[in-house]
Amino acid sequence: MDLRTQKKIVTVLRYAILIPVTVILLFPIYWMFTTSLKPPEEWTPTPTNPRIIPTRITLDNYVFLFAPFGVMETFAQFRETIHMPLANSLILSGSATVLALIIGTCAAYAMSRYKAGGEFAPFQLLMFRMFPPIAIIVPIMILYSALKWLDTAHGMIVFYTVVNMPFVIWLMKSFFDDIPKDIDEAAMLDGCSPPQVFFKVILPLVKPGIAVTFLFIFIMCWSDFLGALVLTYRYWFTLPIALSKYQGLFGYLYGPMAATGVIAAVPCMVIGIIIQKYLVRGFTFGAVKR
Amino acid sequence: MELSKGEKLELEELTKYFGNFCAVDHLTLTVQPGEFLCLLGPSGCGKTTTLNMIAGLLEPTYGRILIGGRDVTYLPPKERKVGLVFQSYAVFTHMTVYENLAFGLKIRKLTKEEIDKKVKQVAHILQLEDVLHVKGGNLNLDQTQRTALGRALIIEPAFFLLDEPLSNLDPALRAVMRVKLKQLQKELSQTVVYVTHDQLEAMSMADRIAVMNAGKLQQIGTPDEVYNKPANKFVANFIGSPTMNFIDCSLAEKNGHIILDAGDFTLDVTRFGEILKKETCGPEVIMGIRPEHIQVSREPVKNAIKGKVALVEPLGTETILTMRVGGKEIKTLLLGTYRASIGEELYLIPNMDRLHIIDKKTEKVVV
Repeated sequence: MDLRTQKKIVTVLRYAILIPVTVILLFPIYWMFTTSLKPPEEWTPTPTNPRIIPTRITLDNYVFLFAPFGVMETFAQFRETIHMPLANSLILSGSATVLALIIGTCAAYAMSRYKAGGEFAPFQLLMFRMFPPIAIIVPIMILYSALKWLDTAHGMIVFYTVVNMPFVIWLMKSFFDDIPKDIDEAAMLDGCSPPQVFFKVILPLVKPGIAVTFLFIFIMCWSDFLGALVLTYRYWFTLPIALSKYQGLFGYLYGPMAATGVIAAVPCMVIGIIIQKYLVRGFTFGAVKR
Repeated sequence: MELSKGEKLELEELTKYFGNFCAVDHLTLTVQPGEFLCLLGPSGCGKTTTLNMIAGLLEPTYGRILIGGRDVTYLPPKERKVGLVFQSYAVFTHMTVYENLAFGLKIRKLTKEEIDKKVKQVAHILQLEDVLHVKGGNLNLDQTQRTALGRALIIEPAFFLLDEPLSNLDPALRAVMRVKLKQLQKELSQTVVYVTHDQLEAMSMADRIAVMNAGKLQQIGTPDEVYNKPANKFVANFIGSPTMNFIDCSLAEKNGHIILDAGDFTLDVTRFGEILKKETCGPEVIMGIRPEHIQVSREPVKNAIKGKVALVEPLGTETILTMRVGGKEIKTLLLGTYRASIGEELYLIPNMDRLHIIDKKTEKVVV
């Protein structure tokens, strides 16, 4: 067999594997998006009609989420707007991510350059995150109830910040470790004090790292279910909790659920697009030897 | 721009311990204003540690550092006015060349006009005008190095510290930069401390060379001195390429002649008698002679050593012959192309004026 035939066979095989994998990966997203546009009678597929493509497109599901009057009166008893959980999610995830990033980045720099906390501190921190959340959520709830922090904004922000801090430190530390110490020393000889070295020279160099870490931590906070489920109940519950409220005793409201899913995906995608130019550099940071 | 001239640098008994490991051991040396001093030594000999202490990045365990007569031992780096060029250059990749050059001045809070004036002057000296607005990450090696130099130059340092600045360049560019650096240093009459493990660089650029090993200063002197009058076996071995031949010998007196006995051959060293007696050199010595100080003859000559050719390395302008004399190997370096076949018997004629005798116990070069 000559090389060209071999190459062709390899190409065919490659696509034979890649195309099904891509379809499998993209199908849930497609399904969520189309379901959010389907009227109630088309939410569930039947054996005779899989309803891959919606026959009638409607925005009722979205209207139901934001101004649930005059649409889908059958489900009137489930009426609950998602204004509040959406705002909650944005406020809690946003502030916790920013806070964790500020504190974690400083800590990571101290650990990378000054070996703050000793050689094992970064690993110990990461180990804390290896606890399954379900194992510690109840003690945290008891603690919060004693502090009267349950169902409060500051309580949730502190919770998300602390829980995600190890990741921030671990990620950012690897970015700092990739910057040669010579850069710090050169800046010092140029007349920088240690804080100036950090803010004027090192921080601009790890911008891609900060962007990637921001997105990563934001998604972690945004998609948290367990923490919000246990630590909030009335005022500060978030989108994932709101989403779960559309399934209950009387059935599943697939349409509004899918619409919530679409809305929930938007902020992460927007952030991703904004920081796109940093993402590729951030993900490959350190993979290239200079 | 009126660049300030270099200042004097003095190290007094400078010592640095890392735990129990002594990296630099009682180092005392003075660098005169406008002098180009090379710190030469194998890796791990304490050169870079010394440099870091001078720059203020490391605190010495013991000793003093004086710049222009001012004690700076415990001053932070920014108050020392030291221009340091790193081996990796440490050019800020996220800034343009202009911003890189301006950085030190900005931190020192100069006005925009002053900064602009100085940056343009330094860029002119280092021929960086064309790349002023290129990001540091997009420069080639040569430009990166000049930017690093410019960053050191622009803060008008008391003196320069260069940490193996040429080791990242390819050999051809290295030869060019050697000359350029040396010219620049003389033009601007700057004091330079240049760290390297490359003896060729040190020999070609330095006014004086300080040879270090295991944290200790072995010898300090002009390139001529360290080459022709090495203080000890380490310096004799480290300077010169190919390295000096060392042969274990014993000294004996016979009928008023002093004989150097290597087992396979003997040499009459009566002419060094007085020095040898004065230094009370033990009978066990090492004979040292550079390959370039051995001539070769096809005919037997008086005082010559008979040997067999083991290896011929023709290098064009010179030829290295590895000779086997009994159980020992002696290298000779001959100018031009020397045709010899392996196994051929030749006579080696050492230049007795260039012969070194080294005390085996103290490793001190006696002759």
